[in-house]
Amino acid sequence: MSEKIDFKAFEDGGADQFLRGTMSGHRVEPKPGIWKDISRKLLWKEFLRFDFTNLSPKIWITATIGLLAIVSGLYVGFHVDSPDKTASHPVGKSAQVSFTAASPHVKPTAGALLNPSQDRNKKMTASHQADSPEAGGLHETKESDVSNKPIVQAANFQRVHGAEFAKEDLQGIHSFNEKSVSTIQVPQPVSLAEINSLVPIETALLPVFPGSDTIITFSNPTGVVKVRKTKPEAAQFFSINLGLVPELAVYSEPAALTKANYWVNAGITYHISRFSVASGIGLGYVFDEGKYHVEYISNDSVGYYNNVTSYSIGNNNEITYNTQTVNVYDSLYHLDNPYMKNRYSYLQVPLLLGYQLFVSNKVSLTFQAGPAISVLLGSHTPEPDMVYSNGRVVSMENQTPSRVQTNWQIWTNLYFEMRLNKKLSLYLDPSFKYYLNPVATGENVKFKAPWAIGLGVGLQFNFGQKTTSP
Amino acid sequence: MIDQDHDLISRCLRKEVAAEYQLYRRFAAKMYGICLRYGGDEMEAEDILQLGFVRLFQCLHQFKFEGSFDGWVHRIFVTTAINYYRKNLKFIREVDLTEAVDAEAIQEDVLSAITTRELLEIIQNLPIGYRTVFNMYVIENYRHQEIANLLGISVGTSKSQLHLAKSSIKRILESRNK
Repeated sequence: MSEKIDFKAFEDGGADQFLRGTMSGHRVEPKPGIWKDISRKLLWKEFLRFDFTNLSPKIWITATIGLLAIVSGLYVGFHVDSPDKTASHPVGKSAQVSFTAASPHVKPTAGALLNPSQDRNKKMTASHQADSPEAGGLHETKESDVSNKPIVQAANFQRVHGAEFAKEDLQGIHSFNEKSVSTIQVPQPVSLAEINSLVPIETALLPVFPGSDTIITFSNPTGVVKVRKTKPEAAQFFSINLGLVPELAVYSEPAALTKANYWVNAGITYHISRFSVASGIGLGYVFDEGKYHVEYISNDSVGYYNNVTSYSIGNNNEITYNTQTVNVYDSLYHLDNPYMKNRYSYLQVPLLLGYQLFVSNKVSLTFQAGPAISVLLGSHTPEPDMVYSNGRVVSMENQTPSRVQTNWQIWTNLYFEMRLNKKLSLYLDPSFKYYLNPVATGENVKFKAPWAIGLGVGLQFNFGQKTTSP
Repeated sequence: MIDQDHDLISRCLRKEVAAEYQLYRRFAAKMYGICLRYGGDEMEAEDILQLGFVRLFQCLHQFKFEGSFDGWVHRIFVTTAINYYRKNLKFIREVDLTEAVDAEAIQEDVLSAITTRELLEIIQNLPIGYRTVFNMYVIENYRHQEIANLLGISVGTSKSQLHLAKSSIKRILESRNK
């Protein structure tokens, strides 16, 4: 570090050569912590490139435990917080009786028909809150396997066939409704005559569609009863969603290319019956090529010649030349057009109108379409590594087209929602985006607007459910 | 040596951390010397060193085993150092050389009482434009045309920056010698 300068080198040449000789071989040991920083940066770079080969087992274990903890927390949280395991439809609670069943054949629901005074041997399966303190005295059986949730209005009971109800059965309805913690609200005890006068439903079990009637079958020792729910009320509620969208963008001009983009989308949707309005923000990385024009000089072999090193004259005056091959080098100009991977960060805001094509108690399918705007937030455009073997870069020109600051797109998607519970859904969202104008501009280069297909996946949280009618 | 390089590079390309560390150990001291010449202080030099090694590992696959690996690594660090200051270098101005002090002759007696470390400090304390052009021209042996192209400045600016750098060095050395 503090060695004296070698002045012999100075004497051999000029000051430049002396300084070059002195400084070019100068070595200084860096601080010990530098390698850790470099290693961390390398790891992060690999992580950003979705290259997880260098992740240590500690990181894998920590990530796995963390993921499990989050999933467990979500699962426990949503299940503990919802004692009412009914009502998957976001319909108001005040006027409905919500039953759950694995199929439209609700296996005897009929906690609602069971009088607490009845014989315990009357095996009727209760669908509601049999284990709740309030209902504990009413039911002998717990029915936890019921999960489907057709919704019925007690006022719409219709008897199908079977024996007439006993009076205590009807009283059972009333008793149950009063004590259950569920959402049952039957106006008043239904009279025996009223029930028996209901017109039987001829149709068998109808498929469960929004807007159509829902049939629930009750069985009890006296027979089978089917209950019809009339058209559900239009529901209004909000939902928010958070998901990831890997996307494939297809460029056709000036060159046919496909590039992978990645988005993180957060959205809010307002649902009105089958219709919905959705918006939100998405932050994404969009990848494209950076084109450069590099000129460099390298010292290349351009040929050789035979150098006469000696000759000899023979007896017959023959001259024999001894030669040595000498390679000839020259500085030659080279051109190179390296491509770099540019990364642009965008903010996108869509406004989508949706229509629910299909819904059941577990899944729904919604078609959404609308405009979206994307704004360029930043760009990462690395320059090519100007490192050529035996070469030296003379000039480098960036020929990457400029990215357009804002861009409009037409966005359509099919939003497939699978309900995990009342509040939480998993969604899958294949989408198509058509850009209304090119994403880049360049002199003398024609660009065509790209299009992209994506597949979003994420979670949807429903909240603020209410109905249009009281 | 070439076989060793080949083996080491291959292991680094397979993302073997031990090999990466070995490569780091091999070049760290020498490359840090370069970074200290280009950097204004130790912190900047460490930044350049880190960037250089990250870049080295990222473009290791581009090495074609056609030339000296040491030379290739050297060029990566010089390029990294140049890029580190490239934005600032666009604003350096051209100075009329007729006004500059004649600095061509830095005499032996001026250098007689100085160590390499002290010379490094003098270079580090030069303004960024002087320092970069001085390093590129004097130490790395670039030509003015090449410096101008790489830094995005004119040839005249490159020459004037070099001249001013030498003047500064000479002035500092003379003042120390008094």
